[in-house]
Amino acid sequence: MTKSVKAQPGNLFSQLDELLGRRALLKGESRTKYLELRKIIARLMNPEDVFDAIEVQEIVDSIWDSQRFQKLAAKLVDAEFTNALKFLTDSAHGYVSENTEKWIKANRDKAQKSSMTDLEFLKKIGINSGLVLAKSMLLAADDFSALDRLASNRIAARKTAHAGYTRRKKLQAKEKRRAAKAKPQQQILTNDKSLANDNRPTERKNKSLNKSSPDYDSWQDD
Amino acid sequence: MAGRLSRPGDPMATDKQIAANRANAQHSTGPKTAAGKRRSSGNAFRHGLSGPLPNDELTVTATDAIVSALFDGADKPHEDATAFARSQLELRRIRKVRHNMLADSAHESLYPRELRRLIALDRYERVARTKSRRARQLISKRRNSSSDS
Repeated sequence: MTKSVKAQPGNLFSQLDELLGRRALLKGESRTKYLELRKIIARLMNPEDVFDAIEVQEIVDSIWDSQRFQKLAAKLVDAEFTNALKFLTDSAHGYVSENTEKWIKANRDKAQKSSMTDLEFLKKIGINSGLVLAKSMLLAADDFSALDRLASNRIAARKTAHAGYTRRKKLQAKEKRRAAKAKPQQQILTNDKSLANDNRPTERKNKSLNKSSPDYDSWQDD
Repeated sequence: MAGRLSRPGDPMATDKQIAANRANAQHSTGPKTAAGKRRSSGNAFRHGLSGPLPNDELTVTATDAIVSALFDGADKPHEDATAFARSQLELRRIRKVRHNMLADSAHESLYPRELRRLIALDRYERVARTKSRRARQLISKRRNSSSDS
């Protein structure tokens, strides 16, 4: 019923792209890298028809999406960097004293003019990059959990797709084995049927059956 | 004209107050024109994914294209094949909405509200994927039974 013509994975995917449209990528994402990933997964899974290709595509998409969310998580931390700096340099939160806060306000502009980065400047008062990063991560924690959930949804989707694919492949292999087993039996049955329809005398019938065996009569004569 | 809210122990509203309330109510009864009503009917519309796929010409053509590409022309396409094709279209629709959401966020990172919406989109996708998987299972069952017979 379904089209079961074996095709090259590349052809399958181009057929799939034609049918369902090419995977849309965001600005800054590389199409070449995406195709490379798809090629690797296709080589591992060896899709034989369009249905297989759809499943491979799903797995590739879930991997791509997880990577995308990881990048977004990194961006979240970067976005909270300024807020973390504000928090750490505010004496109300106990990381620096009031005097230090005043000193920071007085000298920050100077430091920026002398092309000193914020981290280099804060190092002078004992706030290192690790502390800023930790604070940024804490501030982004709520959004992290959302991204984590999105990523775990992708992992679950990938697992389901892979399990379905493996199950189907196993069933296909089982069917093939069963078909291969059934073939010789069918041949035997057809042989039996041809014998039943054979109207020749019994002697001639046996002779034709034992064609490959040695001719015992002639051997005895010798 | 404006009457204040009644409190426990207040005397019952007078006729004047009741009339004022009725007159005020006429000022806030929503859109009157057809265009206004149509516009306000879409106030809660976000992406339209909670409803089924539309049965318009475009969807029907796309469904037929997928069915004819995946299944032999000699066999009459059965309802599982159509269900499979429609689930694929639904998945495509959800992914398009997600892509637009991600592409539209002009800033570097996403706001928590957008993240919550992305999670909600995942729920729609899960449902569509389940539909697709079930349709595929039914198709392979049908194929096996036809090959056995």
